[in-house]
Amino acid sequence: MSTEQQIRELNAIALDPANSIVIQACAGSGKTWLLVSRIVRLLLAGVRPSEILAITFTRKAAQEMQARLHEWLHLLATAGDDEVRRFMRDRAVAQEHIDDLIPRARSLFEEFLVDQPGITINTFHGWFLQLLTRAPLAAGATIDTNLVERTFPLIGNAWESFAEALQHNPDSPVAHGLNWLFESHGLENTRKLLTNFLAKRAEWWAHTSARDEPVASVLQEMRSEMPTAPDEDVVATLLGNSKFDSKILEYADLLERNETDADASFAAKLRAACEETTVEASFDQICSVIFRRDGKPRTRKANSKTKTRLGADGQQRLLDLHADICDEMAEVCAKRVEQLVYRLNEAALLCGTELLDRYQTIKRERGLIDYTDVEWRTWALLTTGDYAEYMQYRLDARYRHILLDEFQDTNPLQWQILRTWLEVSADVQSQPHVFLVGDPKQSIYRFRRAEPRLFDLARGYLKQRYGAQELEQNVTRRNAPAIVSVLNTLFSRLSEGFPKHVAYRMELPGAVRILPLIGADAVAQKQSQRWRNPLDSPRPEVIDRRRAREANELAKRILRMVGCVRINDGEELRPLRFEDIFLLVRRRTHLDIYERALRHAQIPYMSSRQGGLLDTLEAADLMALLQFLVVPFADIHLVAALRSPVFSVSDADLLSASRAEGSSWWQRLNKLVLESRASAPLLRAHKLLGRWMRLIDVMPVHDLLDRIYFDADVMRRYESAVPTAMQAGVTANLHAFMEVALSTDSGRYPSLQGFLHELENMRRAAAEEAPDVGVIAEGSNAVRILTVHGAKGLEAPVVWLLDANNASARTDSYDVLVDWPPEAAAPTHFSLFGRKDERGKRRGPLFEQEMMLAAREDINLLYVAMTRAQQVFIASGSETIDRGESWYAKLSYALDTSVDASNLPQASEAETVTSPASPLVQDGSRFESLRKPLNVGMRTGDLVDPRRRQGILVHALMEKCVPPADTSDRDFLRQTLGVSDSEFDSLWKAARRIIDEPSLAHFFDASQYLRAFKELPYVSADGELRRIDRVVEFDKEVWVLDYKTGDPARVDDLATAARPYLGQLESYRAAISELFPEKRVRSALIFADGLLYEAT
Amino acid sequence: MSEARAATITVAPGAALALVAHDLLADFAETAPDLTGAVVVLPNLHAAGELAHALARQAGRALMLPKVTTLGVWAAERPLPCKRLPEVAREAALFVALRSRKWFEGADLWPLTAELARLFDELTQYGVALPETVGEFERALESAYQARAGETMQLEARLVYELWQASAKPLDGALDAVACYQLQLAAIAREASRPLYAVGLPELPPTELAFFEAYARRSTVKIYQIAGDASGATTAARFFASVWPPAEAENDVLRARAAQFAGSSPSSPVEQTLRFYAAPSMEHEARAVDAQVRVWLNEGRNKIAVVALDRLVVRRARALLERANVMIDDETGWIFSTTSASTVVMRWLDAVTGDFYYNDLLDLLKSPFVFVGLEGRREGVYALERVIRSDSIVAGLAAYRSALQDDQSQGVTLALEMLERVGRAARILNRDRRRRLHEWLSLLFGSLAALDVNDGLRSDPAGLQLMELLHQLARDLAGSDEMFSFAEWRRWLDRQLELAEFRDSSVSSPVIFTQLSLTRLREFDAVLLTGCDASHLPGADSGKVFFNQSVRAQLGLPTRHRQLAQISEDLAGLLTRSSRALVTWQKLRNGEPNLPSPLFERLGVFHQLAWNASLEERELDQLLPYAQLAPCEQFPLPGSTASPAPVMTSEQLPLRISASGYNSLVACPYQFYARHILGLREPDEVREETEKRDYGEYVHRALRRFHVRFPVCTSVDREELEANLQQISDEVFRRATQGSFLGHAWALRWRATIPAYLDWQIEREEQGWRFLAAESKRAIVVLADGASLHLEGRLDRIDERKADAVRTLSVMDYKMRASADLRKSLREPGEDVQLPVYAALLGEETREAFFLALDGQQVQEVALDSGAFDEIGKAIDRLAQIYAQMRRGAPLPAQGIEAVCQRCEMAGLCRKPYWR
Ligand code: SF4
Repeated sequence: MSTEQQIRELNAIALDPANSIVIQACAGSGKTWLLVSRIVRLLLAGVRPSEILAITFTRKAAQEMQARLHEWLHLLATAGDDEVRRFMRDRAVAQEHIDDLIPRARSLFEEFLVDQPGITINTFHGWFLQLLTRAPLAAGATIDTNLVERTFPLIGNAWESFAEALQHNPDSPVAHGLNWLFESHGLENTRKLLTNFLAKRAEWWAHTSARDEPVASVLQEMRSEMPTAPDEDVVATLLGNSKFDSKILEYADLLERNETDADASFAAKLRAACEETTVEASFDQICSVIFRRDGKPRTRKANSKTKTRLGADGQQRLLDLHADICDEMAEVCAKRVEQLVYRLNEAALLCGTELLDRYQTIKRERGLIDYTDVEWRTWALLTTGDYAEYMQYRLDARYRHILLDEFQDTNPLQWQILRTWLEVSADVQSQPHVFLVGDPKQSIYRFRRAEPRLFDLARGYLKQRYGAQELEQNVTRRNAPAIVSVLNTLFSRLSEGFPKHVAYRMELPGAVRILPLIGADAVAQKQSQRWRNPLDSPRPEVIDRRRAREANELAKRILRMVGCVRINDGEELRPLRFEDIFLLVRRRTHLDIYERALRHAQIPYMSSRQGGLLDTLEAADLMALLQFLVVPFADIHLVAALRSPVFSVSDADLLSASRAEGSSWWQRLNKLVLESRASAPLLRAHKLLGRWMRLIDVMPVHDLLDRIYFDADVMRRYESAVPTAMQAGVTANLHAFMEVALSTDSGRYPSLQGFLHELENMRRAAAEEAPDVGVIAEGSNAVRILTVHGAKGLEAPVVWLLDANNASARTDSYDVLVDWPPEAAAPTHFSLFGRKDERGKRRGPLFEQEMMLAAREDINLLYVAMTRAQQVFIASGSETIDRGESWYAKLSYALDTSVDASNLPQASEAETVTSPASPLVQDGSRFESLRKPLNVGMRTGDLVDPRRRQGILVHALMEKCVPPADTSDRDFLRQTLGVSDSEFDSLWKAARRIIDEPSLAHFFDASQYLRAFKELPYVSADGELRRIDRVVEFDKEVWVLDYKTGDPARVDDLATAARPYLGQLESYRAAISELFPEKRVRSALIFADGLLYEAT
Repeated sequence: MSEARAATITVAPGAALALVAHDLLADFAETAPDLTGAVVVLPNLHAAGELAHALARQAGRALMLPKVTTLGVWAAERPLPCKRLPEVAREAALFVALRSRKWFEGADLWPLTAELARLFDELTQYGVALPETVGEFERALESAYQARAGETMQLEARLVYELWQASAKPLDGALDAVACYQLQLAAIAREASRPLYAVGLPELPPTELAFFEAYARRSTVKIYQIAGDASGATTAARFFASVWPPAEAENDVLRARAAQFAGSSPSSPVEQTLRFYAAPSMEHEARAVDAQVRVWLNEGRNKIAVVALDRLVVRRARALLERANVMIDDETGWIFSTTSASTVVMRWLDAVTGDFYYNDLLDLLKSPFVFVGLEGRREGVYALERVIRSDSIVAGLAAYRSALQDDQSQGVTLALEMLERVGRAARILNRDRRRRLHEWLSLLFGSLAALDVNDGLRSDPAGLQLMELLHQLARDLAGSDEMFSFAEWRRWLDRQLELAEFRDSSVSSPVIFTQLSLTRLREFDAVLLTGCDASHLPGADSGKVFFNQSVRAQLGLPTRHRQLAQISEDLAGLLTRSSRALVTWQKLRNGEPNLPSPLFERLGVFHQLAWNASLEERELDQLLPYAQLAPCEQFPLPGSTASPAPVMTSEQLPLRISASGYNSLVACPYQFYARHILGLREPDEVREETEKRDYGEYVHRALRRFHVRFPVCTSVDREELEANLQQISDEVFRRATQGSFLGHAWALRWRATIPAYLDWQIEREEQGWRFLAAESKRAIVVLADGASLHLEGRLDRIDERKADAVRTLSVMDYKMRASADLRKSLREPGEDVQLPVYAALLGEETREAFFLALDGQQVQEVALDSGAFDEIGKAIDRLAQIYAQMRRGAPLPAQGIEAVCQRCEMAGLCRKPYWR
């Protein structure tokens, strides 16, 4: 069967809405395509969007899936009939149905956009949150709880609160436990251990959820499995045993008789051991005879000399005794280690649970939940009483189709939740169809508790309960055949049952290159001269020169490839660009070496490192600048800001400033400026800094930062100061920093000081919680440096795996050991461990299992790395001390057996242009006017002027308590104005002074006029809307009155007070004249105290 | 007249006001130009101007206008026949009712309280009567959920039912806001005399509809309802009606509608007016907004609305516009909690509850609103901050005070006075029992007055409104008697500041930031809709805790569909009335794809199907690079960054250098320059916990004291020695252990080393060495040009040994590091000159120099090997040579190796990461 045909058949089964499916699909096989196609097929089949739940592993993947779905539905709505037919055919819609389905296909998009509630495409966490916000009240009120992504500061607070509680209670068991940990393991390790415990809280809860006294019962269990009681003095038992004692003596005798120097001294030690005052000391002595330094028993073999000296029986006796004593001693040692393990667990669980308690309390008090809480609460929600069933009713959506992507990344708790959900759905008679995609080969998230073994389990479960069909898809659309062939050789050897991959695009040229390992320097490393003169000769770097050479090689080759090699871009062939290259590393540890080489070669690059924004120099510059603004005596911050491209002050200028008078640098700068001795850059800095200092009180952080960027032309100055290779990255970071300011500062209770404190917290947090470096702008032509984890889900024409010979050999210490077999509802084992040599034998198999899983994951990482490459995969590395089989070793093994040297097409001379065409071909002059300030808008009043306020209020009051429709309900009036009793009194008085003024009585007494209007709105003929405070109509005349109660006025000088308003008053008068053509219209201003000024 | 009904008139969007104007003029032809006999009800008062315009245009003359109002404003003018229960007082009562039921222990009940209040309001508004008994209500819910009843559902039913019952009984005759509103409306209807015109109101709840009906019984009522398909609608209006038809109606599929529309209208009605811009990032979106607004201003448009769906983008755009001196008339307001005026209040509460944690206290004192009357208060704050940093004080007024006591520097008196007043204010805010909410508020006012905050706030627009808000709340709460703990009150206050908004009404500008719902009936020259992605438009359902959509529908409450219909109606109206509109969103957010609003997706597809044309904005991208405002001051741009190498004159070089200075000079001359010539050092930071360097300090101190007490140990009983050293150490470490329980870790760490240290000490004495002193030494190095350079070192410890009347000396430096580390660093003595310099300083009798590694249970000497020891003279010679060179003008290059740079604080100065 042809590949094409195979795929078609697979799609026909997988996309059929009637089937439940479990499909294992290799990298590059188009999992997203399949999943989204299935959704389209469901919609075509009449499934409502709200009946679909699709879950994937990252938010980005979910967003991409959404985007793809929209794109396709859009296409179905707008494309020509033929294209729509083809689309359906590609998605295995039966030929005979296609034409009937066209109208439906066309209408899907709008239906999809309009339907309420809509489709759910989310991560597990996102979906759980959705469930929680709809959780019944009985499950605990969760309204207004906010999800925290940055838990680092909270964990810090938990530690503080934990320590504080112990401070008040220094004799509690917890305090003793903590002190024991401190004494035996030190602060750092204790912290690490307990913090790791906190990280595994979900497992702890799951492990102990059914127990009343979690800690006690776990310890009890541990004790029951131990060979000895935790506090038994096993050494004393052994040494107190007379049989052992006599063995030692006999052994010593034999050693003495053997007459070698070593044995003589051993014998002496053993005899001394018997004299020691404490059993511990004796034991140590015996140990030093029996064991080598590394803790292994000394070997003793039969030899002819001994045989001569002791006789055959004597020798045999010596050997037997030796073995015997070794065994007994080893057993005691092992027991002692188990006892240590127990003590560690006892102390750490006591402290850990207490710390956890604090952490949970802190979050509860602040109305926060973290990701683990989300999972745990959802689990609790669905497994308590009738909640799960209730949830099915309570959600507005009823899922009939559940699609799961990247299932290998699921963790056991998530699986438990999912299974519960499925089972309850079955109970309420709405068993959904399930479509599950995954690839255990790509499982690389053990550190996030992913459990790849769940895949098989889920497959079995779905097969049995849902009659799910099992499929496998190993055709890759991404990788060139050259890569696939190496992939097959390599992984067939590395993992059992590896299914051979097939390249879909057979014509795609490709290559795999393993560069020779960089060896030690040919010339022995130059030792620095013993008393070198630092002014003349820099100290040679002792860093790995090999990596530096690897990096140079990298830069050289990139320059050679870019512009020369041609790659396939869709259908087209085009010269390779920088942006087509991914550099992958396992860890970021040595990245600076590679970055330096790229910089040197002027190769633009972007390290997409998680977190890390605040560690960049540009962010540091801005933080220094802001720090200086709040702490003006922080000299080093000021000087760093001066040296940064914001000001680019030279060292010569700094030197001159350093000699000026003043106790701080800022004062010195002031002095220089005052005495007109400042250079131009210093003068500029002084002016701008002074300006910004005045702004910190009146501007929010973001606005201040914007002013700084603008005033100092920050963007352009950085662009000009940094190496070309870094420009794109630095610009992106400057924007990202602005965004941090914007989002942090639009948070609550902003202040510059608070912002800087917050940044400091972020900087110290783990990478996942610190602000990320900026996203490099689309279309910037730069090499991307990624970790393998970071590259998951991405692909590039050229992938280069760096430092590939560096086998990972990280051993964990001070962490939690959990065994959660995929089929179990909860972990079957939970304990903590400390140093490597204090793990104990009992848990040996579990540690081995962990190691196995880690090794498996290491292979998966290599698989992920390689499958990122579309056409070219390169690996390089340098010789290292052998620490297990490296990726490089594995790769070179595979290449030996399947050499591939197919060459990539080369670009023609004409095409070898490396720089992209400049995007700015336009002439900018016609936008010149946009570069100038506009001066638009104005302030019409002073919000904080108390007189203005008084005026407005009196005005409002008058309006209410003069006829027509007047009221004098004081309480009502006071409430309407929203003022206090006392303020109301004074307003009331002020208003009454006017209303009760005898000379004004005819304006306010309804019996004296024909009609009165208050707040009379009128519109002039040219459409202008105005309001006149009061218009009073008499027989012959009409009065237009305007209250100016907020203005001070003196009886003797009303004219002056009135002057500013006369123009406006006249326009009122004119308007009213128009409205009352046959009457005389007069106008007047009424000031406080009832003073009237008539305009004439 | 009594059977008369309100007349409903449908009118096309954009035509409503003209029609009303027309009808008004016709109805009041007799009294014209006096239209004051009519009442016009609008959805918002902003539209009043437009109405006036329409009237003037049609009348062609000046007019006295009708009363123009909104239902809310109108009702509020009515005095009440009963007492009104202020919203906050009602929530306080509800809260306590919830609290007493103990259903949700430990949870913050305020949000739930607010949700309940909202639900009850809706029930009132929609005239929903709950059944007679809770059992019936349960059954009603059961059938609405189509579910089996269970305990879980019972709780929901009971909670709503019981509290509804409780709150339905008015508190001493006072009614809540919604009930009052209804009474007020009823009163208006009872006295209705003027003809009423209601225009473009959103869909009304039954109680408001009832008002119009009641009003109609006494006077005419005309209700103008906007509908895109009303007769006389413009093509654009019909276009939007066809794009977003009402969901209830049976509609043709989009494709058919588009085809049909294109059939009747061969060209697109919006192609010239409406554009979509999908920005690749937030910055781009904000820049697009900024540029577009300025382009429009340049074109002479003078009423531009920016609909702020994405607050962040709008804030960013606002800053960009302000660069060009474009002021903004902001109708959206700022939530109080985002103003710095409320920061000062909250920071004050933080400071009080957190025992004046240094950062809260400094933040408070640096607020522009505190101690405004205090002359030179900044100096005071800086003085305080200096002391806090240098003494590393984490919290506690007393601790700050005592640290300031022996400080003489400028500003200390002020700092002390501030602390004094802060203390006084704290005493006012006594937190130890439950109080009424308004009592808490008045304590707050009292404490703020003591901080002199009131005056500060009154001089700030947001601050002034904040104070007014808080006082208003206090007045509203005056009658409420419920008692609350400080923490409960604090959360309450938080919520109040979260809910209320500060508005700056004093700006008048052609550029208006507003909300979609405020644009009803208004006309603009141009409209910019920002943040039009799926998450903002229509946006998530504002989480309703109670029930679900089908239950709400069954109960007769409005559902999500209603909300959505309102939004598309508002959008259609706004776009119909605007002659230019730009719709923006981010197509990428944090590098992840971000979907546009489904409303505009529909529109885009419709448009494409009808006229095969896209509405994508293309000019803007080309314009953006040029649209940025030129900086006001031109200054030459810096050149590319190179590794610096400053040159010193001989008088700039200090003639004094310490061993560590020398080390720095060797490691990186530029670092030496920054530290010792510019005199910069890392500012002191408050260390909230004991750190490694404190540990070193403590051990040094303990050993110094110990050896003063026991210069010779061999003569003393070992146990006594141990007890003494332990006791001295306990004292020395007290600061650490008292500061935090974690400090015990350090004390215990040292305790573990003590026996090994004593072993070592005794052994050393057995070799004849005696403790001599710890002291500072200096030597003078004469330079080639005759100048003398002072070389200094602080020697941790000097031992002496006398044998045959010959005295020899030994110098050592305690290190809290592993011996292997130290051994490595001594392999290159030229790079770490500490020991050679010490040995040289100590003079000719010196026979050995070593680090004493104090690490865990091991104490080890790591000595300068004999080869290096013989070369100590070279260390001095080299220094002399370097100095001579520098004095002659040799540059000081920046050239640390990576390991040095990693720990160097001067990277901001040398700018290494930017070198090519
Ligand atoms: S960072 Fe490195 S190069 Fe720069 S001053 Fe410090 S040590 Fe020298």
